[in-house]
Amino acid sequence: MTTSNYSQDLNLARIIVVTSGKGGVGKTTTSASFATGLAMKGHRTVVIDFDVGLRNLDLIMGCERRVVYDLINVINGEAALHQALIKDKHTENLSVLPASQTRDKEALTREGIQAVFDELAKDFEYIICDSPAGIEHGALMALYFADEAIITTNPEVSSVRDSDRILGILQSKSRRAEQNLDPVKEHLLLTRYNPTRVEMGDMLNVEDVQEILAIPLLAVVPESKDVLKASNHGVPVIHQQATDAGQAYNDMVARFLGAELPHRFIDAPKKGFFQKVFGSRA
Amino acid sequence: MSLLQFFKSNKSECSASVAKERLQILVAHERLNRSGHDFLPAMKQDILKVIEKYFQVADNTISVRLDNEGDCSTLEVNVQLPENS
Repeated sequence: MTTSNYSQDLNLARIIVVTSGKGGVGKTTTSASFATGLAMKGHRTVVIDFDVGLRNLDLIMGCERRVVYDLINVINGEAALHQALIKDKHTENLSVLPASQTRDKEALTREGIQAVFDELAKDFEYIICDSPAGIEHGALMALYFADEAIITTNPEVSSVRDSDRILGILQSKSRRAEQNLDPVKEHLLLTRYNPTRVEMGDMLNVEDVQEILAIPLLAVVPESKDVLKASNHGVPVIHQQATDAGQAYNDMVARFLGAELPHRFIDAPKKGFFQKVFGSRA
Repeated sequence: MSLLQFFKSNKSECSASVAKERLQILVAHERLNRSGHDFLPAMKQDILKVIEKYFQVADNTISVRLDNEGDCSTLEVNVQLPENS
């Protein structure tokens, strides 16, 4: 990296996209918990919903009734940024920028987003972009400015394939790729992992997915009933520190910030004698 | 692994390894397609034009492949010449 780039980066917030290609793998769940985790560690963080037309992050964050203005309003100059930002009620240092529900997706322009990011960078250290599914305009806009990418993947064939396509797009169509800067830093987040099914040979294991996608593993989040419960309540699952999923997201945030922790939730729970002999229903 | 599973697993191949194998083939193929070699179809047409000067060949008798293995890239051009040439 050249000196000029480096000094420029020092002033800028770190932009991280949570992406996957495939829908329903846990992008919004991850964005909510990851952003909350960074804020809980004292980092000023904003999480932005890029899913124009189908906003959901506000629901997962539990702030849906406080949405007045959205990202598109800000881009179009119909509201000031501070009017659209929603301060999280549970966590200090955390704000949510919701997506628009109705407007035209094309309103999401590079120039508009750049202007919003420039303003956000004055107040926040981390800008988390919750990407929509697919590889259309919204997803491309969400990843364009990214410095780092959380590739959210399920241990399932179509999800792994779509993740690989998204990696290709990050390596060719992101700002960093276009301007020949250091490449976007990629992290693998394996979600909805079921160690019992992996042990049965019915589910791709961590090593398989990592070998195919060839990017470093950030964390494994086990399949958990608590994720649905947390979204029912509108409280990011990372707040439920008694749950596996909550702890997995906590590990994810700590590792992202540089801590070296062993990976957890990879092995199936130990079975009793009778279960060993007769097997059990996963 | 339980006893029951032991007997069960002998009957059918474990589905995760099938998934892995299918993905490895697919992903390798798709990476090749997007690795910036958009010029291959055009190059194929150019090669065909040169060959056509000397032989009568049809469009579907030429195949061009670019493979990357480690540090080494190989360009494989396969032309089927008509029998009476």
